Amino acid sequence: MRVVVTGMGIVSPIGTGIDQFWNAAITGTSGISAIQCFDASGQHSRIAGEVTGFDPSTFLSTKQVEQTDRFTQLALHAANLALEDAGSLDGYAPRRLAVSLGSGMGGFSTFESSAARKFQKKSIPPFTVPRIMANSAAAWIATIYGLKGVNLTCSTACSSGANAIGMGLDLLRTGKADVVVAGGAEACVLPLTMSGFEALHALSTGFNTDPVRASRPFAKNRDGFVMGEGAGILILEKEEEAQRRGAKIYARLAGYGCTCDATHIVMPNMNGQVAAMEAALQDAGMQTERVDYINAHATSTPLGDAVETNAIKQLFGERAREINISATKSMIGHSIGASAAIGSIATIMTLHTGTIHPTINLDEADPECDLNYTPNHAVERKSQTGLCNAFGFGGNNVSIVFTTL
Amino acid sequence: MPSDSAATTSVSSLQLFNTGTNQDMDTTDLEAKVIAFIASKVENVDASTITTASKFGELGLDSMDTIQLLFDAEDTFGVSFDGEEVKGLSSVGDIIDYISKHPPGSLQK
Repeated sequence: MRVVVTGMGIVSPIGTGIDQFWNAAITGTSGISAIQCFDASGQHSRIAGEVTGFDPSTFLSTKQVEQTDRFTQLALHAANLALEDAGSLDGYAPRRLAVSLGSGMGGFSTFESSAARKFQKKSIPPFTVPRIMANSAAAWIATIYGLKGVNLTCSTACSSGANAIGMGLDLLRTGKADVVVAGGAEACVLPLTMSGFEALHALSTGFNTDPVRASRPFAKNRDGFVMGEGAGILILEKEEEAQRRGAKIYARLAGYGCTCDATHIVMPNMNGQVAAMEAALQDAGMQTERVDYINAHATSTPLGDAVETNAIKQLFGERAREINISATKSMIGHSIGASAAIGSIATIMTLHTGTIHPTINLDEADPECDLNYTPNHAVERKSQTGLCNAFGFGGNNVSIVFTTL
Repeated sequence: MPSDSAATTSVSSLQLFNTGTNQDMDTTDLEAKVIAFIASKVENVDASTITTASKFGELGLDSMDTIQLLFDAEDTFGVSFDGEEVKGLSSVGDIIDYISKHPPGSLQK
């Protein structure tokens, strides 16, 4: 069975909606700046990719705003855009409409603010738990749109959004749903969360005075990832049903592979990454020769980008240099559980438009990172098969295959 | 208490509430302020119809809305809605009585 993408919605630091996001991406726009949403003067990393100018009251009632964390609000906005883009789903039975969402941290903004109140011996907001719980965003999307089928949430850290899209593919293939609203959402530009990543020395700290240059995947002097936030949502349907209702089709979701390193809770492992890409291609029934674009996980950490480079070289051999690779995070930072949903949208737009967005800030490549990362400027080149990679804490490795029709 | 004044004071009086002291409020003041506060929290209800006798259900507030309302009232009126007693509150008048009986300052501002 063929599964296709018929709608997309995105809320990101470089734009809301597909057109705004993609225009910014292909012109190499950075969405990284000094943190505005809290006083970051006590942080080592004082920059982030924030979604600015976002006002949930434009689409939610006062009561709904009160009952939702920011990650749910971002997810709802992206879902609104994706469902609008997909057109009418009225021909489907509500019990056949599913949601499969990913979030690494869930409602951590609420967690931090309620915890602070509790430690000050103040009472906490009654909707603390339903705002924090990781499945809050998926549940709200279902509630607002009457999607009464399967409702799943996947939390696999930085690969959550990719797993959620893969789970969506499986739901359609196994006949458990006819439409899946799939993607990821994250909102953790927050003091405790960022301090946690700082404690692991995972965040960039050397570019606080030059934020747009901080997220620099594959560059020689990269020093960690830049925190981001956002949401990306895809509408997935069976190809024949999508065609029957005359839907616009962006791309085919052809395969999904997923492995666990089972070696270390945070350190990446090349073999696990290779195995995930292999599994995704096998799932799609394809050889490595077909792949002409890779949206890399590429967070801008010294170790991670080098390991991913080696994994790509290991799997694709000499052909690795022929493949255009790009790192969306160079522009928007790392939006954890949303990142692979956003990376998937970038992959789909690459196939759909014939333009490959650049990896910005690649002024001097790390000698260990010697592939074609589409440095600094977009490239016009028709791609037919794209991989989107996502690797997360816990040793999770996920790869998704998209193709043109 | 003339009901139309409650409607017109709802926003400006919220500023007053944030002082967190109700020690010097007389009963009429408190009643007006609680009604104005509730008027600012309910949706699709004509503020002039809210009286001390109004039940939460009549104002469109379900059980979870009521819990949220009491939480919001804590910061506004400087009291803590805590313990078994709170479960029996069902009307606007009940909130006024509760605030009157419980001295403010139990919450840190």
